[in-house]
Amino acid sequence: MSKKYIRELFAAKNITIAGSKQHLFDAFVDDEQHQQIARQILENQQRLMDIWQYKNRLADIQQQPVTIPNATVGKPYQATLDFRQLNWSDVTWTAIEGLEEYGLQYDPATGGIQGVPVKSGDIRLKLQFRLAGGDTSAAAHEKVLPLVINPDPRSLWKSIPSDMAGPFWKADDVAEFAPLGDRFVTVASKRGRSHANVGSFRDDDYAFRHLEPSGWSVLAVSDGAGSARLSREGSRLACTGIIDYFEQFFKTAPTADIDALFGEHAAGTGTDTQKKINRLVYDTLGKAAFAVHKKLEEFAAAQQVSIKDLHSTLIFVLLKKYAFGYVIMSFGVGDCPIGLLNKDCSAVTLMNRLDVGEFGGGTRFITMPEIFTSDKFPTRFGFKLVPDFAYLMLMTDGIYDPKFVVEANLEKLDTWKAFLADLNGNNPENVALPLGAHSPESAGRLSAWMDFWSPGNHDDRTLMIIS
Amino acid sequence: MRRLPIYFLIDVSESMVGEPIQQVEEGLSQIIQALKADPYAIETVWVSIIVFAGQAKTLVPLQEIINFYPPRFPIGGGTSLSKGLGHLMYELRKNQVKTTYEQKGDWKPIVFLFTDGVPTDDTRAAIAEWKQNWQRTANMVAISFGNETDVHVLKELTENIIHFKNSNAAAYKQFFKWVTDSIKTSSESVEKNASGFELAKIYGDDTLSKVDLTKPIPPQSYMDSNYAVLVGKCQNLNRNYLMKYRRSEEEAKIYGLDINRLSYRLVGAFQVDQTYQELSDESAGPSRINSDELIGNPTCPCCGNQVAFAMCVCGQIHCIGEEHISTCPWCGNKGTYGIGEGGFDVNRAQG
Ligand SMILES: [Zn+2]
Ligand SMILES: [Zn+2]
Repeated sequence: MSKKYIRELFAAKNITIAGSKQHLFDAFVDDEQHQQIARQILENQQRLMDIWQYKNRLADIQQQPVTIPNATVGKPYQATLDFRQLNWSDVTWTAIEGLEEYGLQYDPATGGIQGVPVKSGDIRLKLQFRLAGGDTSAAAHEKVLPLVINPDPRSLWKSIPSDMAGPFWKADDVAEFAPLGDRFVTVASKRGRSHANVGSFRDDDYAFRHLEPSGWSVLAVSDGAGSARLSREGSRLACTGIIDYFEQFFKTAPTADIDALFGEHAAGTGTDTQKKINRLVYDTLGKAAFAVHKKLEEFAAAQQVSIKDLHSTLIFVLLKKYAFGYVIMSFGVGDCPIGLLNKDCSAVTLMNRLDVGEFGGGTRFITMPEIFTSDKFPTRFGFKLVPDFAYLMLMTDGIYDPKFVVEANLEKLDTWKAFLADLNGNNPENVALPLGAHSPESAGRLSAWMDFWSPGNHDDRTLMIIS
Repeated sequence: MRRLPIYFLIDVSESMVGEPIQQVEEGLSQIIQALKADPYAIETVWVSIIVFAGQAKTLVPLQEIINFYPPRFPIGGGTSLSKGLGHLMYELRKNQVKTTYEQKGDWKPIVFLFTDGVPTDDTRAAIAEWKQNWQRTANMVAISFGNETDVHVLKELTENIIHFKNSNAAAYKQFFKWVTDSIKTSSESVEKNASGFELAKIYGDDTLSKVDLTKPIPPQSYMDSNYAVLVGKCQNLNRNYLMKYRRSEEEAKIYGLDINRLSYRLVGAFQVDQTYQELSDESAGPSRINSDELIGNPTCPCCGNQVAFAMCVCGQIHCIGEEHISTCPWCGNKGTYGIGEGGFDVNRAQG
């Protein structure tokens, strides 16, 4: 090898060996001392190349992008630096310092990083490593690996109680269980996280009453618009306004005639009963809705505020038990649905049309005078005569948005079945109402169920269940 | 829930090399970190990052911010705004979820465009497409970095043009906080069913200012003349690097040069990776600059060789060390270097 090198070196330098000097040159090449020099040169060349190789490799590793999946506070985390996949078979030793304070450990044997993160942050982990062929007495090399630990989104929401001394204050959370004629009502209304986060008021409201001797029950749910300054009072007035209106109404109304009409309709004996009922529903409920609108208008004037400051949606139902079944009449403005599930929960009826727009602007409120003159007004009413029913539910969009997502799902039985299962405890939190358990604890349970977590849905929540 | 898509369309042309791109890289990762501390934003905001130079590419596909992993920003040659816009529109189209009876669609996307220069290509077709298809379905905010941006082009795209004086680290911090606040306010307002696009207030100092489009805009000179950026290749590592020079008239005086001549002072030399080629417009020819106008010769940022600015007979630049014979990593030519007499023209990158 070294002989060959000497010969090639001389050839490369264009040193020609005269024929007469050939012997001399052979002896020169054979000389052990000269071969030793050549070996030294070759070794040094090799060393240079090795050092170069090493530096080049080090630069490559330091440049190489390495991605570790993001972690989340409180969620068990497991990630691996896969040396084979990273092409790091020449990495002989690794260590990562400072992981412990985040609740994580690094196992150099497997390249695994695991644990349950205890705090969030964008960390720049320092991976220390040694490469095969490197000087083991020198300091280890270092590569920075970014690790992202996300906060637990739930921990970001604050819960600031609303100011009880503030104008038109109402309780942040309410829930009730009560008999309603021969049925029961379970209802809860809860301030959303977006309000709790800043200590503002609940905008949702509800009211119900069973009226004797007429036998009618009245149920109302309202959602105050988030952008309206006094909508918490608007929604309260809308609900109590409906109850008060029908309390007065049934004191003087020709209830016997009304009962007779439904009787004929059920028996199929009268003439044009459907038409007459439509007329009755339109007149009775339409006048009630308009009366509430007027009441809100008067209140706004008295308070010297714009009626827009009271913007609220409104749904309400009149319900009565007869020998032949139940009569249910409804009215709705806004995006709060009324759902009726039949006796064996094999069919669902959406009692009202929702006012939903592509963006927020599509919503309508009971405070808007134009809804009464719109040609869509007659489509706001619902009527149903059923032998029996399992559940009648009234809810605000704080429930509808996370649980039904879009209007189309309100007409799908599967979505409702999933919703019933959810109320019965089939949810990540394992909180069950359950439905049909008629006990005073139901109020608190519904309220607890309503704490369900749904990303992006932090509106006020109100759900009224007649069962 | 509806998503609020936020797109960052970022100019990564050569003049951004060094501090600006590092600041943008850190700034974006800080924006995301801050948004994750906001209860509205963490659940609503989705983010995508698109970069453009001579070519455009998606650096971060549209994703929830909790999955966001800070990317390394590349640098490329050229400022093809039309390719940037084209790529943005492609992503917008691909990602958009429209509201129907069956599904909940996205909120109106918000686009933040960062640019520091003048487009090196014809933008008319891309701008026309933007106007026709996207101007009403997306909200755009254009931010000009420094004084060299072509505001005439930006005003075709949006009414929201913000001038950012990228003078120092504190200014960058203030700027990225403003972007964060704008996103936060928007994400909160969408949840309240309001408009979903609200820029944060700009406080009265000269770091950030809204460009008043009612006033005439001074005419634009068509060369990004604040910087001269040269491409070199390391003789040892065969990697590309950029040498960045900033225009400086005072320096010309000190060095005894003609005051009327442009002179450029070294900012630094920076290694770039393979994406440099990928993001550069190969069809664009180099513009020439005389080396006499350049003050300062950096060391090679790749291998540490003393001289990063040696020019081969092929016209390309590479580094040289103490070796007697140097080999050009571009063309393979072997040669010996002495100190050049007079200036020689070198290729100047376009960004
Ligand atoms: Zn070099
Ligand atoms: Zn060459």
